[in-house]
Amino acid sequence: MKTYFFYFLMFIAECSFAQLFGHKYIEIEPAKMVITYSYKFQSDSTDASSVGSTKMLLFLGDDVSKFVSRAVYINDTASRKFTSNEQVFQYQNSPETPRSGVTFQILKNYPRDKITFIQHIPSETYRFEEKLNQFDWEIRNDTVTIGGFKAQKAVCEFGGREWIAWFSPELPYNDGPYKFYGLPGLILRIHDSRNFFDFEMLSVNKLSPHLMIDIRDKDYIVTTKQGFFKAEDSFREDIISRASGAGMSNESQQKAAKNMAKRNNPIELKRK
Amino acid sequence: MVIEPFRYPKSRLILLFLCLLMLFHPALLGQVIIQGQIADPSGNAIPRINILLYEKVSDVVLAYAISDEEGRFTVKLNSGTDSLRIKVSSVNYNDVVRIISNQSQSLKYTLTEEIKDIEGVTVMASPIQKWGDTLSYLVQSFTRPEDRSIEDVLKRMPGIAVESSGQILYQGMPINRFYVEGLDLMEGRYSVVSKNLPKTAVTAVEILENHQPLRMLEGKVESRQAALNLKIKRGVTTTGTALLGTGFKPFLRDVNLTPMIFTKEFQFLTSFQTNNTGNNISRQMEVYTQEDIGSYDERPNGKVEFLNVIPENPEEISTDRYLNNNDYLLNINGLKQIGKNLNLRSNVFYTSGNQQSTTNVLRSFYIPDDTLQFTEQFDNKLFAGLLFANFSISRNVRKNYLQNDLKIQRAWGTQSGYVFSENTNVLQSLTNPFKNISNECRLYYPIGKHIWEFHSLVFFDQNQHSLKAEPGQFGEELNNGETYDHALQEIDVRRLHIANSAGLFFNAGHWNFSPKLGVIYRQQILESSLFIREINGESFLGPEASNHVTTCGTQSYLLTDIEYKTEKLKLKGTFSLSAQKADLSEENPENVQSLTKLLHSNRVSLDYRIHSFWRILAYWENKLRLNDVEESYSGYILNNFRSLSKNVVPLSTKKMQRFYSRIEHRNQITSLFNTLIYVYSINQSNNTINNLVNDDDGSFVSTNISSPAFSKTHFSQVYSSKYMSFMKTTLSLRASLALKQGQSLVNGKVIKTINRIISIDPKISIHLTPWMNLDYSVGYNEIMTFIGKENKNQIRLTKYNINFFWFPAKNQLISLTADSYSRSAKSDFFVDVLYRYTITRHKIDLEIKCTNIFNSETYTSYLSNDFSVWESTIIVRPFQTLLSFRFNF
Repeated sequence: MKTYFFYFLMFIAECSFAQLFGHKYIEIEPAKMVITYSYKFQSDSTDASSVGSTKMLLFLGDDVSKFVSRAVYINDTASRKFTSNEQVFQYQNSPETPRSGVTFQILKNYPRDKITFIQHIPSETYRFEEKLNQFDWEIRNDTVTIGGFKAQKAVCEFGGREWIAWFSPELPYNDGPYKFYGLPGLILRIHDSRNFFDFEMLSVNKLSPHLMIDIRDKDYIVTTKQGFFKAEDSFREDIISRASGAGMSNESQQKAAKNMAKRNNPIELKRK
Repeated sequence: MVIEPFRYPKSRLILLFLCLLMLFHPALLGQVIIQGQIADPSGNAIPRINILLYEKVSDVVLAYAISDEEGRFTVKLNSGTDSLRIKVSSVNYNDVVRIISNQSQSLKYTLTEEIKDIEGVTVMASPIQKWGDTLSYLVQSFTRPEDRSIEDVLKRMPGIAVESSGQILYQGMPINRFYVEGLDLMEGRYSVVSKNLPKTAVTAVEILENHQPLRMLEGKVESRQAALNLKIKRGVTTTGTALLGTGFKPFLRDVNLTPMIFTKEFQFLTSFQTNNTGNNISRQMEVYTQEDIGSYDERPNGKVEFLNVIPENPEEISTDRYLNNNDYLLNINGLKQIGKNLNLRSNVFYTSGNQQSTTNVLRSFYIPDDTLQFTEQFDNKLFAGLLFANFSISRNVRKNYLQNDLKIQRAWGTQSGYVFSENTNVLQSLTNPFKNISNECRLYYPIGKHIWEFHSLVFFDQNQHSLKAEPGQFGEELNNGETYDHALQEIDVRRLHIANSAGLFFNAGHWNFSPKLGVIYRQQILESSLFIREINGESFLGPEASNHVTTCGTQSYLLTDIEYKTEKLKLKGTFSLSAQKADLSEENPENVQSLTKLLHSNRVSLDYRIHSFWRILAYWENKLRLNDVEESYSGYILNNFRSLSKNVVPLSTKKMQRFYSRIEHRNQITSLFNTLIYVYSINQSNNTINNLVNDDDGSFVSTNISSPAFSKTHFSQVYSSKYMSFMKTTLSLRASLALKQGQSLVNGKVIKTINRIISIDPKISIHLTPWMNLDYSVGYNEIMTFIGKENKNQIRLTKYNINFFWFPAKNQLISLTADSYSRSAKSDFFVDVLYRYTITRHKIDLEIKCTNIFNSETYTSYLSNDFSVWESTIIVRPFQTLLSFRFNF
């Protein structure tokens, strides 16, 4: 229930400022493979029972890849068919609509050698770029088998956390979940040393016919990574007044604020 | 003369050290730099190509590079080997593998386009997910092709156990609610759902930990128990099972029509079942949910059972092994949500059953210098009919809570049978009908930030029972030592129980404070008379063997809960102060008694979550109450042909102390669940049963004397289960140790008794191959009885149970069940075979089942008491064949 309220809030904020249907998209290139990952995350670092989990999809094209949550992907695909506001509302209110708190989209090598990160923070959609080859991987000798693929260990430091990755040269992609990139094989599993965040491959599937990797053509707030973190942090702190603006009752506001306080464990710790 | 040892000057030492260091420095060992360029045949640079360096024969990557936009790469490595293997690999170009020497060099590779076919794979999804306090078990991960109902799948889920009765436990504790799509249609009688809901209708089984059923109290009053919720597949509303079966010998029938409708606003289940194959259907109508321990004792005791025709059936094996029955069940349940929050529910059922059994009983009594043993054979017939109706209205929302339940029950029952023993053959017949009606209302509503609570229960029942024993027993006590024709015991017990209470719930930060005031009034009228009949007429035995007792108990109490809670820790103290008054009036003025006492009970409990996986629960309780005045009667009652009792108890207090602790560990990521329970309890009263065992026939006269009685019990239990998803295998272990120390008064002697029961039951359910599955369990039981310090009896039982499933084709199943129960001298062995053919298109099963193919005749079970052990050998059902036809609604 807690998290539902949050999605609702995100949604309210989105629909009160944005156009609901008939969006335009820029097609980039066809995706030939899709990798499904399970993503477990502990949103409150002080409470080990605050573990959430969701499914993530990594679409791989020849040059570009896109990483989104399964829920975002499904909702995005569904929303393209809508022609009226009623349809949008009906879809959003349906209990069958998948929901996930993980709402970011990550495009890699788009533009060339860059990571594009897109996320909506009420009431704007932010977009920033960072370097694609920013990971200083160190290869280790340990090997395991994941889903029938032989994988080797590699470690790196990123965003203030120590990450342990398992990549498989049998799948000669340089990609992986989240922003992770640059190993000579697909990352099948990656988690931080404290096990707060854990991405694990669930399936590898060919896409035929190929699907388009695209990006919504809209007025993004283009910022830097630090600028985005600032917006994210201030949203977290500012939640009560925003909730009140969206017409939430007092109890819900407090609850939202409390829930936000519990979301104290971002995947990237280095905020400045 | 002092000779100075030779010394290198310091500077030289440092130099030497540096030289040594440099010798071993990898850079000096030779860092190899391999550079290169990758292009296609027309000379265009190819970016994002992987260059991997390995030792000549190894799969471990030593170093790597990825070609840049100009197709260039640089790999640096330090390796002692002479040669290296280089692999150039990518998705859209051909692979190149070469052996190169381990020295710096520049390479050039030309790649041609080649689309690689990467096989798709799916790794099994994590079978158990956790969201807050909810654990969600994916049914698909645990299901096997041989399963039919959801109960079959539940048995294999780690952390969940299904008892042979059908009761569901989570971490060793009974669940407190059973929901389907969040609604409680059956109110605890869930077995009819779990046994008849097809597994294919369910997507997930959710365990709601610490489930507080009252929405209003969510987050305020935490429950320690878990509830179970079944998530029905999208698009499924009507479901259920239909089964028609027939067989021989004798003529067998098995019919089960159980359609169900589950939606979020309306639920309906009706069931018609009948069989004579040993399936005791009335068990599906038992309430298996249990309310949180610690709720104050406001309810009347269960059934009135002064009279009985022994013995009881064994619990540990399935009834279809031994029960000769003829059962019917008709059950109709409906739940409708009116408006948004009001639920109307009605549950009505009728069960009727005839049962027949033949049991040999060896009773052993251990007394200090002797062991008395008696053998008897019972041929019993039983008929039981029960009509039950419950009408309920409830509103369970955040703002308030209301629930009213009206229950009406009417039962008809007769039991009769012969008992053959060395001395006499006795015919017993018992009729035990009862009627009962109760209404219970619970109301919670808020006042500002606080909550009011009201509770009211009115309960009335009437039990008119009679027992006839022929020829008459206890001539010594009842007929001046003469034998007589028959004895007739008549008894009528009427009970009224009214409980009302009102409470408040305050919350201030970390503190909860909830005082509750209540009054309980209990009245019981017990009338009994024992007649003896001789050829020349019937005679009434007079006050010595008749009772007319009216007992009244009044209890006014103040119960206060004080709780301190943080996210991880909950400390709670429950203190109750009650004025208890008991009155007992009888015709005989000597036995009229009255006692008023002010008594207190306390309980302190702790609930600590050490970590998301670990939790400790513990409480200590000290209860003082008046002894059960309802069990007091001064005239003899013939309980059964060999037990005569009277129970004149001076009213006094009894004391119960209990320490309960429980450590839970649950890791849903590794699918490992463990619970360790330890309970220590002490009971003290001023009321000892004086048992007089007759050496000749083992008959029993029990009376009560006023003398301190004391017993201590230690009980510990372990539940462990683990699911290994890569093998699709569930491992589980249940082990317990019970130690009871007490004293008994037998034939005028006080004896110290110790009963020790050990049981260890490991179980494995393996998915061997896609066409072969195996369930295997072993059980070890040991019952020991010590009298004084002497070990009088030791029974060791070992049981093996194998269930083997083989699928010769996708739609065919052959299963073999072998059960063996052995004790040093005796052994019981049963084998069943089943063949199932599934018409996949119509989802119809055709089954042939042969049970007990080796025609084993008996099954032996053991029951131990303070100073006695009963060994019962029951005649089992013979070899039989059943043909059946099953489909889902």
